[in-house]
Amino acid sequence: MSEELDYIKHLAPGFDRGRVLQDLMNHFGDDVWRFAYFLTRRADAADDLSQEVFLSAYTSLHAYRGDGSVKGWLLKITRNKALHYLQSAFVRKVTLTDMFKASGSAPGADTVFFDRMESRSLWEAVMSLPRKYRELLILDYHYGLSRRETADLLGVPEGTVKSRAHRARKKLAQMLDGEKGAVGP
Amino acid sequence: MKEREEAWAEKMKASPFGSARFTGEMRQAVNRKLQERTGNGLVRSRARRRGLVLSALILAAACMAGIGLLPLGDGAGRQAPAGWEEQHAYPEEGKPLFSVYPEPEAKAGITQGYLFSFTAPFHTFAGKSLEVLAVHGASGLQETVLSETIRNPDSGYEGLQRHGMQFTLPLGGLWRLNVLLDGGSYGHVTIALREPDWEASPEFRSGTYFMRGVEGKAAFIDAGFTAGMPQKYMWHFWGNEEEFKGGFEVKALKEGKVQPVEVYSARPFLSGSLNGADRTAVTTMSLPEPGRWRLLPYVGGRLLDTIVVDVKRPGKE
Repeated sequence: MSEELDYIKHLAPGFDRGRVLQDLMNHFGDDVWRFAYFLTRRADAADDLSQEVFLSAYTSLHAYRGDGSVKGWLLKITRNKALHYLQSAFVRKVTLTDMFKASGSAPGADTVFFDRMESRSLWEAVMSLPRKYRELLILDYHYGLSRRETADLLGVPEGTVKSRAHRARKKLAQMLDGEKGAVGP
Repeated sequence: MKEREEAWAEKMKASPFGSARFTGEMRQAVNRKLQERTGNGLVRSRARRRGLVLSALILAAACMAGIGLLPLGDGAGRQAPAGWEEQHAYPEEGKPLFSVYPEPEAKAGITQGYLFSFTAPFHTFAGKSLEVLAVHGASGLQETVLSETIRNPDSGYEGLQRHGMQFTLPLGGLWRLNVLLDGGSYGHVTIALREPDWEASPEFRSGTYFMRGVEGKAAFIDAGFTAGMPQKYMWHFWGNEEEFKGGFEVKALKEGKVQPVEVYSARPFLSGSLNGADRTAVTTMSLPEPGRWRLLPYVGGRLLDTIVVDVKRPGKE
């Protein structure tokens, strides 16, 4: 996992924002890009969104009060931007259905595919979950956020995170079992 | 189910992509957009900004001296701003909002204890960030001496009636301690510190080496200083993990001066434990002029302590 860059919590006024921004991009650039991708399922959107995230992080650095981790803060900005993107009229019209369901079909030109064999089927299953469940599993398993941090990031109570995570795991299990044909009604 | 979840967590820890997706071009694009937006260079150096402030101060001082407001001569740069006097309590509507009790005879250059006593109930502070920003009266030098999130009342109290802190300030004279709650100004007090000692810091033995500095805190293997000559020095730090977060920086103050010079800065900086210390850092440092200097090591923007060294004139042994 990336280093936490906690010094950002203790910046004195007049600190060099430019330098801090470079640090943030170096350490969290990929984390942010991936989260944007996981949420939007589009590489081109993730390219744009991740840049926007760092631009807003730069302007709101002084507002970051160090309550949570730096990573959590950046992921929260990412999520806000990604949701905004998903809600925008353009995307609603050009809906991208089932990009991940067709596991057998060849990927399209701008389709990113997961190039690590050992975890590919798992990631594909996660990506095909509804966003509500997908983001929870990703924040937990991939980013290692605590339940409290996740609740904070999603803006829901911890209890909701807990119950939603339970359902998400159940859905994921069903999906993987269905695929293998190991268990099935 | 449990085992399965653990397997998922394990598999999903790594990125599903074999390569980095946030590329150098994207990084540059961000920088470019910022430049367009602000209309100037992105990485404005801290030194340049400080230079600007400094020249503005000098200009202001020159104007004031010109119309006879400031006494000319050596003392000119050492005056605290008008209206500053030692003031240990910050009143609001006649009652103190908080008070500070510094260690008796508190001195600059060494770590001293300060007790803050806040009168407001605990919920005023709960979950908020409390910062103390110190400003030196004569030089305008700023130090962040405390930055924490308030989680619990002080032990044995209902609120923050006995809030102890320890910090080091580099210069003697008046310091205004600005208290910020969640980034907003909460009030300020003004303390007077005695001038620091200027005897060279002692050497002590740790592991197989002699080090100069403060035992149990920060010290380095002193290879000697010659003005203007860069030299390698190994720094050693003692403390717990929490204290080592953030960058490492060294500034230095010459005896009789109030503006520090930047000597070294890097992040992330610390390597493992060596020579009996918890963390170490190899640095190259050079001090510009011969004489007595006070080194100011900062970790994560906070001054750890100060170390006095002698700097030789070049060409003389």
